[in-house]
Amino acid sequence: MYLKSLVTAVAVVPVISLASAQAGSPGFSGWARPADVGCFQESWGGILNQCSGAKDYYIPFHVPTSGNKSVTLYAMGPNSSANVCCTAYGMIPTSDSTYRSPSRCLDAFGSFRLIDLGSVYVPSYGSLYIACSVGPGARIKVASF
Amino acid sequence: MPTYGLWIGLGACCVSSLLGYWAQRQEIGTLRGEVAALTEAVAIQRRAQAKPLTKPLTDQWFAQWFARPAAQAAPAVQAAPAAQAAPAAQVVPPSPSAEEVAAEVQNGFLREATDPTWASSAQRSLLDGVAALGLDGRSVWSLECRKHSCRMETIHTSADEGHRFLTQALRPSERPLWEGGMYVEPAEELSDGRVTIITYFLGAAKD
Repeated sequence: MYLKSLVTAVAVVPVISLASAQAGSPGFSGWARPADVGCFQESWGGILNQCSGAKDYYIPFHVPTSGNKSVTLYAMGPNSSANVCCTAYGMIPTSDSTYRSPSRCLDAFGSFRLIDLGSVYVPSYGSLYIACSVGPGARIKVASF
Repeated sequence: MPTYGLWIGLGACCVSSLLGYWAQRQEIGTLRGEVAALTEAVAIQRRAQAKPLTKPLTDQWFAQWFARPAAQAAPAVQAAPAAQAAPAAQVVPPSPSAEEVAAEVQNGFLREATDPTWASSAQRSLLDGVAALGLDGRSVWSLECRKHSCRMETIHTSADEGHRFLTQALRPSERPLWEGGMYVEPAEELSDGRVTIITYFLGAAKD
């Protein structure tokens, strides 16, 4: 009986995990300042900064419901001098005030890594987006909440 | 005979005055009791308001508080029977106003305990950070840190300059102005065209 329960649990857990896994916005769905647009190139659904300096890049989210949103993204920097640092913003619809999440950067380089920006509250009719400083040769693959 | 009437009239006046005096004394006593009760109630309320926060003013606290009005306003979710499959109109609770958010964050900040050592270090770090962003056209009007969070008011020569400052201050970076969450109030314009901006630097969640 115990074994049966264990087997059932082992069989069911991956299904649940797959069903609840987050999917996100592709990196190339974002926005750069007009002067920096030429720096960002689409790359496998993400973006690559092909300029020699760090550039800012923004990814807005379509948020169907208000509430706390846990914001993450996958990014890659070629080395420690080409990091990717991001923060998330929850915008209040009725004024120019904002909440900014902690700023987080890649902690390792050479492969895609998760950056966890924590929880951001999006009020009713509010909005959510992330801003990233993308180092030269660095990439953002996907951003989720 | 007229003398007796005078005495009776005087007596009636005295009795009436004494009765009025006693009635007023009773009323004054009642009012004093009510004032004392109200004073005590206000004192209790003030003590309750002055109670220190059980949790520091962190980005998590901010999110939890922000979520609270919406949760309270949200209609109760009830499982509808299968036969009644008609979709119910979804009621979106209103967001707290900017004034409500600002007041609650300020209250949370003022109720936070103080830690002079942490506060001194955080203030120095923020002042250095703001100076590193450049001080042209801006100055720090006031800066107060408590135990986990800080409140800074900056003054700017124009709204555009204030916007430039915020863009720099909020920007993600390997060396950000502040590691934790931040909350920025709407800029306020002064009569001479300058603007003031109040920024709260919230304690890191790990604290």
